[in-house]
Amino acid sequence: MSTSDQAWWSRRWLEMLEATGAAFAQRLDRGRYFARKGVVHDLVIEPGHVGARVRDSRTHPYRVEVTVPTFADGEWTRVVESLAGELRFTARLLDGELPEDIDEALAPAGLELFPRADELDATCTCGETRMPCRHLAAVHYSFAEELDRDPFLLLQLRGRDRGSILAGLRAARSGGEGRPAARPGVLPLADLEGGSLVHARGDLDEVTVHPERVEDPAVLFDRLGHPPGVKDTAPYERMIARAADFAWRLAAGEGSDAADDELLVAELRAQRMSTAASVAEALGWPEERTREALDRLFEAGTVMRTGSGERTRYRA
Amino acid sequence: MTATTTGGRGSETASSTLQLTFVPSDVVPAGGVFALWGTADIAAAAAALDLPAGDPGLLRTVRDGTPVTAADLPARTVPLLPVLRRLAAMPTASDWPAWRRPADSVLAWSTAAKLALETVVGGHLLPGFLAGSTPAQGVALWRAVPPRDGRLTTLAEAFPVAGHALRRPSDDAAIWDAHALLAAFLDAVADVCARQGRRPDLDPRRRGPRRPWAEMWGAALTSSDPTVAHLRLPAEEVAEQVDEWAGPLLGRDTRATARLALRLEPPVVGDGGSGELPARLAATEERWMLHLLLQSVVDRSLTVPAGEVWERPAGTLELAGRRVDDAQELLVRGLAEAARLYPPLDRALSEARPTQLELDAADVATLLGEGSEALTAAGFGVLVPPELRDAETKRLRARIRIGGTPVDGRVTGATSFDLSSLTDFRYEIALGDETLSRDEFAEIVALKQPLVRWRGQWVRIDHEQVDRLADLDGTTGTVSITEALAAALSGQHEVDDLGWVETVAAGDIAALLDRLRASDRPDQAEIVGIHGTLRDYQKRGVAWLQALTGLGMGGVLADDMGLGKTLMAIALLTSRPNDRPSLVVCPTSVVGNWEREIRRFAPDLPVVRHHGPERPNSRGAFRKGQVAITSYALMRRDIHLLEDIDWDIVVFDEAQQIKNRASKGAKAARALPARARIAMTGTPIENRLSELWSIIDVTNPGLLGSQRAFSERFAAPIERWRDEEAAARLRRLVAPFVMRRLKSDPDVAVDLPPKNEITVHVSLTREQASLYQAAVDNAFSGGLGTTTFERRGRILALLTSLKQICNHPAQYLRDDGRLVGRSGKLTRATEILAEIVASGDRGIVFTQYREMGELLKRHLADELDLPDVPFLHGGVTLPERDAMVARFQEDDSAPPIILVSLRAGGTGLNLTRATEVMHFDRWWNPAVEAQATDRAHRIGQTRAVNVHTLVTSGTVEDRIAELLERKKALADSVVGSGEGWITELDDDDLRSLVALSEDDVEDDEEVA
Repeated sequence: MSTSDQAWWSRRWLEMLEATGAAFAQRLDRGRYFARKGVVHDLVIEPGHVGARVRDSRTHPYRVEVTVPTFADGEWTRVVESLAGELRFTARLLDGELPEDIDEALAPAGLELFPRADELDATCTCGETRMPCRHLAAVHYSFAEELDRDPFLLLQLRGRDRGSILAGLRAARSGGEGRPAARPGVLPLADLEGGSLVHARGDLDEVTVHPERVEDPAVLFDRLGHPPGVKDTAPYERMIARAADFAWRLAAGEGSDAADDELLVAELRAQRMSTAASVAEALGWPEERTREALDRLFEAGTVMRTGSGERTRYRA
Repeated sequence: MTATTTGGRGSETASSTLQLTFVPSDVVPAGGVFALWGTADIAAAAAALDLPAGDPGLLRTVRDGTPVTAADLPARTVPLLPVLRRLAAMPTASDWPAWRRPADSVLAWSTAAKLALETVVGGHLLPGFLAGSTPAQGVALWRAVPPRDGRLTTLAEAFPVAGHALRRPSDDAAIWDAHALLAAFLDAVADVCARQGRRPDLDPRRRGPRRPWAEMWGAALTSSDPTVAHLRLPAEEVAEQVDEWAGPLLGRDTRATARLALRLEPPVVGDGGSGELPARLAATEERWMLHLLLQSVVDRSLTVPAGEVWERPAGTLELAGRRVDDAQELLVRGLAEAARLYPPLDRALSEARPTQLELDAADVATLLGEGSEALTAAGFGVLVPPELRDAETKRLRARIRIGGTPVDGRVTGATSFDLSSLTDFRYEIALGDETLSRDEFAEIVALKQPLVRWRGQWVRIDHEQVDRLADLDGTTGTVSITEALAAALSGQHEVDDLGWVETVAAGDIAALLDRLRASDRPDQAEIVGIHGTLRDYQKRGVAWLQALTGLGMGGVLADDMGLGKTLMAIALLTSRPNDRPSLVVCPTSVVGNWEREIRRFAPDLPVVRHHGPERPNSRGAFRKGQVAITSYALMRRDIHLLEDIDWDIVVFDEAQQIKNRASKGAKAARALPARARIAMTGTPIENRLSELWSIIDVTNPGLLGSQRAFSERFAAPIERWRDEEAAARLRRLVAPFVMRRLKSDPDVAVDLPPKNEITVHVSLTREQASLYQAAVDNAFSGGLGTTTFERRGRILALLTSLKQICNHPAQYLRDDGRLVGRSGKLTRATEILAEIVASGDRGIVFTQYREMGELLKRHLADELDLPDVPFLHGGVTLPERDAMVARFQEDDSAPPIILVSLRAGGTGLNLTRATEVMHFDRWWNPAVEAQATDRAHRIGQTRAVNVHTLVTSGTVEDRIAELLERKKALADSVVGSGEGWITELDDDDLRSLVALSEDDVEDDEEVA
């Protein structure tokens, strides 16, 4: 995980760690290396506590424990109230992110989400006298990685999970709890009514469709930015444009022969030389139609043909 | 829940009709397949829908019953692409004739296919990545960004369970729900299109060396092998990064039953702007309000103000009868995203419970333009007062005014119009319905405001367009008259870099259109040389034909069967100047009929049949003022001769014969030079657009543009996507050139007799003629017998033989040979019945012979593509008979043709649903025939009935028909129900009665 890809909250966590001792830079380095290597196991994150085992070069792993003070109920109430003040905060939380100005947001409540370094109490069974030892550093880096993916771990560490915070925010806005939604995607057999399974349950003609070609089919990249690891989006934009073209030919029906011909030739190339039957099978088409199309391509000079009757073979 | 299928009476058959279910792939979406199941012979049912038969297997589905249980049923699996292609072309539910409609699950997947393709056509798909079983590799795939306007929810809710009854993997107690399976299907379609149809094939042998991620991913996304190997990072991590990137578009739940909507409220303005000058902009000083709402996705008219949503506890809000889960979250996330697309919304996020927002004029203009575009594309509702809605007409825009003076000076009113001559058009600037003068335009533009109050309305000005408009204003161009007509009628003209520009008619084009529209007045018809009276609606038809041809234009007479198209065409021909020959092209089976009709109604019109081995092969044979009749087969054969002649009018009867543009017939038709070409057909061509195009290409070339353009502009949107606007535009475009009246039209019905008797004369084939002659010779050569009894017997036997021969040689010879092409009657009957079926009518065919009935049953089912044709005859039991009648009368999915034996008489037959009756052969006893006809036409029947009686020309049928018609007294004196009266005739009369006249025999060469 490079620093440029890190979310601000995980970086902040590490900054807190790194601020504790420039003198320990070497140990911190080692810790980072450890975390990358994957020697941190059984990472546990609970309200008030982070724990893990670190397997150093020796066979027996060390145990690391970090304790973090949690917010009391009263303090949580103040947190939720502060966050409810602007819809923006809830929006970010719903998107799975921590709002950047969360410190400002919580200031009126007199609280800070991120613990200060001196609030943390850490132990390690390695016996090193000066903290942070490289094992503790490794656990911090591992935790930071997890935190990067899920910032709510921080809230959890402070004593509440995302769901209850969101519920609290909802309650602050309106009041009252809600009913949970059903499990999507799955329909139990018990919920089915027998006797009319083949009939539509509404007017199928109500859904109208209107395929329309667009100027710039790849405008999605403007909204999302570059996909990970892709510097030049042009080839990807072309892929989308060609997908749109292919779909248009299917939708409007024009030139479907041309699309078919392309497929036939491509399949022939892949098979080198083959019978109509084998090409038909590969493409999933009726054999008769495949043979007709191949013969047509032969007449047009795109494809070569040898043999006759059952032994006719085509070549691209 | 009630099943609201369209026309769903065929439920007994539905359970054994082919069902379709999508089975997603768990490897890569494009590998998804369709399972065909639910009927005994799946391969045959697949072939009937033009689907490949696929491979046999089992489908993890359920069995209907109470309760519904898990079951693995026999199925055939077919890859996605071939099925997709077929589904995309399938007509919608209401466009299928009831007896051929596929099961609801097939229709539902057809709609899903079209929706999925629309999604991909719009570019709404994203590349993705899925971790594989080993950490160093994964699979590249595509995912669709589903439409968020509620259509997916509507479709999912209407989906028949059979269409998504696929059990979840390793869960026998649950199936996929419709929404989830549709989402998987959309992904599969996106994936298959991005791979250009290649089927995925994980082939480890073809893996190459490590390359940069972007290259490997790109290659895997577009080839048939989707695997990406040699990853530097663990596959899970890569997948997470890609998911995160795509998150904002894919993360939203399309199941949501409600969405954020914004409602724009304009300020109340005093009306300062009713004068000629644009108002000073009240817009800049006034404030507009934008209200935040929650809108139901299923019923857009239902909204709830945001304020109410904030007050309610979660999960307790209902809209349009559906629970809205997480209503507040919907609003919150919606606002956050909407604010990214339309920045003025950001202010709302600074409040705790925002309900509305103030906007200034610039913000409003942005909202009305790109803001609303971005917001609606992202699935948000934007509610705007009607006067500001983005209707083309409310904006400042360019418009074309077509039809100044013709470039070469020719003026309307000439007898012949050169449709290829040019006329000019000019660009103007329009606002609302008005044209702006240069000064007015300059004033509006000078104000530099995006929103202007003009003549009491709000108007948007796109200042980027303004320069372009200023340049265009007043510029001119030229087009041919045909193009001008097409543009003026459809209201649009396509211009290279502007696309479709609104067009209005002026000058001589407007005058021409007015003339065309007013052409069908009965008093305008010039009726000359016609023996017989035309009904009012027929006179209108003739007036219209005369007006069109007078202008040198062609058209299509598409009246319902039985309204007298032939007579109207003859009236046109007699009114023409005698300076050139005219040509009638028709099916072989009616060549004789045409000749008879012309001789009957227009005895002074010279007519000649162009047929037979003796037919002329030089130009000189076709004289001025003469009408030549030929068949489509001979037109093709003799095209080199016929295309050299300058015809006056060419009439194409039963023009569906040239419905295939690429066929030789159509090519030949286009090659015949004429002042005007008229096509006649009884089938509803407005329903078969490619047929329409092909025929109009002959009668009015150039009117509908190229076939490809026509397909994109009209055929696909109308036939596949039911685009109402395109349908309306096409109707306007062809209206002056197509006339179609129905029997049921009030101004036609009033003129029609309740029972419209049509005698159809057909010809014998060579085979029939030789059999006929042989039978006659045999009977007379042996003598007709000495005793009355013997005589009677032999005569009746002869008559029976002759009747059977006229019907079909296979009936007479009792052979099992080919049916097609051996009997003129059968050919013509099939053509007529095909038209009846195509028009959606129902018909009864009477025959007195059981064997002929069986023959017809087989032949018609094949030729007319009907599942079955019921035959009601003496051998049918009473309960069966009642069932047949009930089905015919009440079941929409029952075949529209029923065969009835004349002898199956008796009471209780009520077939009033039929509006067409055909007597295939006759029982020469008028009373018996009339009774049969009256079964269909009864008191209580409100529609006119066409009675078609087939009579073979030049044979005993012909003579007896004539006899019965002329000698009314004779007809009245026929006693009893038999045909014995014929045996009373003396030998000479008898001989002339049964003689065969050779003129009327079909030329074998013509059967091509």
